[in-house]
Amino acid sequence: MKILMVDDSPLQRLALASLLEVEGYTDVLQVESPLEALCYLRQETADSIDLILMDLNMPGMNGIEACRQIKTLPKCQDIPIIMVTSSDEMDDLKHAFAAGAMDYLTKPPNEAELLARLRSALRLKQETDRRKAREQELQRLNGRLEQVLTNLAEQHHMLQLEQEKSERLLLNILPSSVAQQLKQSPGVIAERFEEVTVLFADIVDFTPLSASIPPEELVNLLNDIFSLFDHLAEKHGLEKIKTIGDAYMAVGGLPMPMENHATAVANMALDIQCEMNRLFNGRLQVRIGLHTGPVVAGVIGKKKFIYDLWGDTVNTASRMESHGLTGNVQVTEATYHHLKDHYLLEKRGTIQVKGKGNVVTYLLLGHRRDFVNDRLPTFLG
Amino acid sequence: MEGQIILDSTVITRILQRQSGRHLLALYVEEAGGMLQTLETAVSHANPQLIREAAHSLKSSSAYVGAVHVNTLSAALEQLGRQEQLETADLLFNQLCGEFERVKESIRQLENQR
Repeated sequence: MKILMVDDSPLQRLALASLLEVEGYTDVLQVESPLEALCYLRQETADSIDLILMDLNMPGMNGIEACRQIKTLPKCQDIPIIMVTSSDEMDDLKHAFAAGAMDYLTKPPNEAELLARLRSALRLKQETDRRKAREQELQRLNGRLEQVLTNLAEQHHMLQLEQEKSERLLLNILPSSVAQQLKQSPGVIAERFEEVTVLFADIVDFTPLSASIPPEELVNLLNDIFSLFDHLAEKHGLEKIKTIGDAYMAVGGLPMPMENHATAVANMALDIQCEMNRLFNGRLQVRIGLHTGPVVAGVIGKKKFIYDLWGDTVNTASRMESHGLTGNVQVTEATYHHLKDHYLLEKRGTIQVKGKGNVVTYLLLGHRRDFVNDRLPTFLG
Repeated sequence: MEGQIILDSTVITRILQRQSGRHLLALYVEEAGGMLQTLETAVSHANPQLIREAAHSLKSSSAYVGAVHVNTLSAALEQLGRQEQLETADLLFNQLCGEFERVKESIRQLENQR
């Protein structure tokens, strides 16, 4: 508890200080003029003052002006100032209060009065100090909270970017409905589809070709062809499953069920043949096989997983391709039944399929609307 | 003023109860003496502002030691200075000097008692 006493009279200072000492207030800094007081209060390193006792009438600067100037110092605004006045100076008190004084004492001060006014002023100062400290602490905490929130927002943004990136990658390898399902419940996803149409397309004589041109060129060529197939799959609403070497696998009717899966796949097969003819004019040809039936589709494993199909239907479709004719589309009887109304098909006969015995197959010639009397017009054939 | 109280005994008793009591009285004698000198100059130069200031200080200080008459007389002198009516200032100053001498004497006696 440090008290600053400003009085020009050594006698009055001593009288007041000895009163204070009796009450236990021993840390009293005495100065004889307001200028000296201001000089002390302006020092950066000065001890903080808890209370100022200010003589009202002093030669030079009086106590009222001293109050005003002390109150302009930022760190002194909360220091209570008690004016010490003669009883005939009451009129000046209102100016002192206007200048920031908090209370007053008449000369010579009565012990009880001095003590009471001192205590109330000091209590007020303590409360103000405590409140300010709390406010500062709150402000500090608030600042930290804001920083944490900013960091969080930044992290969230980064995370979002990462998530978007992985989302794009995921959608590139998995159908979006499957990606959603996988994100929500990781694990095995396997779903049975009662009727889909599977397509296998194989580039004929690609293996001998790969020996005659540089690998980079070969990969570029394959990329061009399969990108074209991807485009066609998208156009017909089919799901590309994968490529196996120089073979391409796609399916119609999943993961979203599709009523006309067989005709969509047939259209893609015809488009592939047509485009290959247009681009390579017989130098590169494709063999295509289709089959319609039930499959199980899903994602298994933990790494490098793909959305894949399983079941006899897949094997049969693959056999249709491998046992097919170059530049043709070979289909099973199951697919034939779906297509026969709108497409022209030619029965190929019975072929031996490993594991299945004799199978009746058809060659898909084209859409009926492209034919006149079941014959291809000369300008198309 | 003869026979009247020079120093208020209640005030003096309280002062002397304190460690700093004698020092306080000595300071009063010194300070009041200085102010009387200032007052003398002020009165002889008929300077009302200086009279007012010095008399005010003497008045306050005298109240601290219970020098009742010095207090009253300096208050009167301060009033003259404030009103700028210095006709009786001389007279009042002389009374003040006489009263201060008695205060000094009383204080000396108090010191001798101890």
